[in-house]
Amino acid sequence: MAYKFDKASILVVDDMLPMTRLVGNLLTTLGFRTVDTANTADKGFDLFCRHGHDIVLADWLMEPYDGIDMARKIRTDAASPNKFVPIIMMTGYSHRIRVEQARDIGVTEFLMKPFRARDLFARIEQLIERPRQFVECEGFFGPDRRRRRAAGEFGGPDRREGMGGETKGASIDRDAAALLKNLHDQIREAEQSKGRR
Amino acid sequence: MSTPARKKKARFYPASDNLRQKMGTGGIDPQVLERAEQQFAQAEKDYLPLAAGIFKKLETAIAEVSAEKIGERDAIERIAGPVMELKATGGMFGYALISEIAAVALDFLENVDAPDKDVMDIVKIHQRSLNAILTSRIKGQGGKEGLALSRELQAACQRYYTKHNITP
Repeated sequence: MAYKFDKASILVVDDMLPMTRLVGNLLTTLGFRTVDTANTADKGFDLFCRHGHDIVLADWLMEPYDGIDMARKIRTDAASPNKFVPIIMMTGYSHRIRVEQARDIGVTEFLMKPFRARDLFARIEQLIERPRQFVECEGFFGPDRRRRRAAGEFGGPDRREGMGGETKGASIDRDAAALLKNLHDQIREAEQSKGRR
Repeated sequence: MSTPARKKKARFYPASDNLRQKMGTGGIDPQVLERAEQQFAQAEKDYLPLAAGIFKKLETAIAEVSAEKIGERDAIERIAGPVMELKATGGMFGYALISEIAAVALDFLENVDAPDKDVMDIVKIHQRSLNAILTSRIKGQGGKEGLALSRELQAACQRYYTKHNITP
């Protein structure tokens, strides 16, 4: 038996059209049938008020209002049809302070970009299998924050495995290799001459 | 002596099993997940115009910070925004080395306070590297040369941390 994703609705909010399209396609391929998309936080909130989706997937950095503003509205605005809805925040930010900021306004899960389909699936599975109690106290309403740290931080060359492209150590096109080697040598030389000064 | 205000007691709401009721249990067919992974390859063609727009924002931010048009407090954040977007998008559209190098730059920017000359020099070598990779359309991780490049950039950041007594 597999999850019946076709029974649930999901809202994707991202201001980059190719990203919205890609994430929408990923979700459709996973089996979701109702995938709504919006390219601003305002439009996303309006859609959520109209349809009351089961899951919200929002990007952090958007203008004029960002994903954090939208999450706050979903959790606190009188017009919100479901203040308990699971919110997955997608972002390239991974520093602890940013994660805590998102957590403190009531974001349920954090999804670090770039991600793969299995990372997206893992977050959705987490929402299904490990739903969290909600807490309302002074200055906070959202999922219980006492939980493990976010996993899968993308720290540059330290997380090459599984990020697509070719495997570690594989060779690339000769021109590309020469260009990258040249850049590397220039940076090393510049840094060494700085050290000598 | 005034009485301290009484803190509102926390109220707890039990976890909802709404999603499980709708979607059931049982995981996912590995073939479906594999098909989903293939969506990334189909999205590659969308990347260069998207990256060009983000890169333009990065260039503008660097120029404004270099010309001191932005207050010190906002300067790092202004540069970090497009760097984060390059990190976020590259690997999802087949340009993993863009994500890798932008991640090194973002990590650096999140550990420094002000855009002094050394910081801007490091930001600019990242910018130059990202630009070269995009212009030459180097997809994937760039093999061992790509790894050597990102390690060299990391080493440059590390030297800055050492010089300025920063513990990342």
